[in-house]
Amino acid sequence: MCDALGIVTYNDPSVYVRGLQKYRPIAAFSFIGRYRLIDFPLSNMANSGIHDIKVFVNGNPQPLIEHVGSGRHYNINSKHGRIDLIPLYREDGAIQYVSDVQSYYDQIDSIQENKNDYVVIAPVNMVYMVNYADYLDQHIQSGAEITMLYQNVDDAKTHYINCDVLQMNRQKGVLSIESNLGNYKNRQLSLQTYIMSKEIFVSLVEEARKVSSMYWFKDIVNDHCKDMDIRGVNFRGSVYCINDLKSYYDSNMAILNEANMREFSNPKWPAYTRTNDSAPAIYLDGGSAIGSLVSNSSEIHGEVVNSIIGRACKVGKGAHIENCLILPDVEIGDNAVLKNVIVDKHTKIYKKIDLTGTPEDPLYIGRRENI
Amino acid sequence: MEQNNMLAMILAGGRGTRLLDLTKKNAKPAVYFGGKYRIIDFPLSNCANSGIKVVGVLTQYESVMLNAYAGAGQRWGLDTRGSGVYVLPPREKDGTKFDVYQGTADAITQNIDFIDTFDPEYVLILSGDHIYKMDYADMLSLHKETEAACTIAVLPVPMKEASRFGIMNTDEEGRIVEFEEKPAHPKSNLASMGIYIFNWKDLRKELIADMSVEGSHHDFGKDIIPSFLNQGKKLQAYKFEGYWKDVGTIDSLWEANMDLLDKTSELNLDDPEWKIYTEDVPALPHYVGPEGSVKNSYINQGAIIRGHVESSVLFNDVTIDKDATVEQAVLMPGVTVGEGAKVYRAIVADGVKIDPGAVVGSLDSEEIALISKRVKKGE
Repeated sequence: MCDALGIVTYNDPSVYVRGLQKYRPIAAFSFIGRYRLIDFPLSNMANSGIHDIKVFVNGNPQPLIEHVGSGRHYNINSKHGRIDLIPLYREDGAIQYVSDVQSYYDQIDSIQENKNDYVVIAPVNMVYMVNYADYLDQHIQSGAEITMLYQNVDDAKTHYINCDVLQMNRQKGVLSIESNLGNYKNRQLSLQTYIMSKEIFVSLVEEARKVSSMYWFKDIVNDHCKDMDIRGVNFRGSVYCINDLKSYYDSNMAILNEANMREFSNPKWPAYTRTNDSAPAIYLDGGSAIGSLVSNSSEIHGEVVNSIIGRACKVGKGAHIENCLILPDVEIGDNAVLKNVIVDKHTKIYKKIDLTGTPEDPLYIGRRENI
Repeated sequence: MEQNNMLAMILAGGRGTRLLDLTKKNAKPAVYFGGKYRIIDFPLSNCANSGIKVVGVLTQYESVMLNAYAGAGQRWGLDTRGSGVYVLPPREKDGTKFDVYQGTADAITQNIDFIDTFDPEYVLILSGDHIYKMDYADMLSLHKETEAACTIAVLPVPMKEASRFGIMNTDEEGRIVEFEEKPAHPKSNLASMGIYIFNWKDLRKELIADMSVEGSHHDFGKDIIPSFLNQGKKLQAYKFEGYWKDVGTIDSLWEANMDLLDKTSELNLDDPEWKIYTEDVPALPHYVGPEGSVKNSYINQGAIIRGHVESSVLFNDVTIDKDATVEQAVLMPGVTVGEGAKVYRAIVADGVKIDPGAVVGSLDSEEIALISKRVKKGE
């Protein structure tokens, strides 16, 4: 067991994924065919021995309630652990701009009563596989007041725009948290992953709330860079940051590289998700796949090339799917040709249609549409 | 779901010797089928989908794994209040001699006390080694309607094959007038599927009587059913139409797997109205590498394909390395096929390693090869 309360949190409005986010919160986004983004922080926490987890949700909680359910499938001990889904609720209905601090404050009593001494905070839009227990040990040994995970990136001019980046001194003391405006190539991307004692967490939440109702947790941490011991720790594993439609597409497609894929299929560190009890995928009528990930319950009658096919999709005879990200329950008609397209859930694409995006600007087809 | 006051008992104690090495350390009902399932998932899912709440699973041969597997009732949704899967290996009881199950009927006799605690009106007897989807609630309706003492599910088989089965001869109303085990000259083509619904009171009495019958095999087909007939009790045939297969041999197990690749076959495991439930193994969608290819196959999540696969069924955690070829084969969980290896017309048991360059089976072969241990190059 790990002596930490897990907090899975939502993003501030600087992250917005065109199209997809209209229908569900980022946490519920489909990832590599059969997962949702929420599965990764929850699996990491469960595998790390964190069995007490609060998931803060802004946006429609319904798909997450359905997906997370009792939390049993995340291998959480059903007696000594629990996953609480906490949807944002305001009487006036205006939830878009409610900061994470406001949400944490709503739960402050229950957080204080929690038996764990530490908190581990993780976002839903950063996908990585990590053992939080190791970083918690490191945090305790270092004597730091807050530990933040970061990663060195060399493509920050074009990627991670508006994401948090860290300024650090040579001893990895965090000097400030800034927003990436794309001015520099090399940056230290914050993984928005924080480790601290519960006591510090609670006092920061209370303080932030007094400063301003617009304050996010990172703002109060930033304020304390000058008087607290806040340290950055370099995370060396792969990180997939989803902050817009392009990065969502790229993050998924990157897993088609086998070395990347293997990080998610480690039997010692499994990624859990809800099962749909669907049958294996079937290839019929000369249907084929190459360089692809194909989920169960899919029926492939056409050609799938370098694509990700979600659960229970149907690809018609003579259809050609290339460099596409097909979300679950999509039907693609006979002889349709799709290149560089993202197709959202439950959409039907009829026969013989030709849909083409570019790798730089993939075409997005909305949910439950008939094309 | 409505409680139908019927308890199910699955006979899952058989070894299945004709499955050779597949059942050396595993009972037949635990044998893998169809890319992600085990045979016993079929009767258990059928029970769950038919609204049966209490299922007893009678185990005996190599039952440790099967007991643990079947005991996790939540996999089939058999975990609500008042429902459950009860694993019943032979047990020592007060006042009786401890013994293994002597026959299919004896297995039930030894668990009369278990069944009595639920006080069911009807008991459904199933075997744990067939692949089929069946609504037992529909069979129960017929049983009630005809006021039979016992209803037996029957399957029309081709007349020329009828002499391989236990054959039920019926009158126009479907009442069974005669039962012949593997008749040389069959009078009908209705084969018993080994699925029985009894009124518990009638069966209970018969089982107790059978205990003291000299020379009895304590078997449903050999003793209980003939005795019911002799006593003039009403036995009703329930005609089943649909896919049903006894996967008792390597050939039939392979064929049933191949039936999944046939669109015209009635075996559809992906019917949202009648799902087959099984253990959930964490895995990514199956992966086909940039140099791999898949055609006409049934592939479970977690498989990694860098080579070529055609007309095959692949379970989770199967890895096929580059330039390897797998054709008309069933690869059970965890099988690895090394670089350049070839696997044709075979069943490869779980966890088996086919070394790089090795060749297994042949496309011209009539027989299906069973590979249950590591194959090296040149073997």
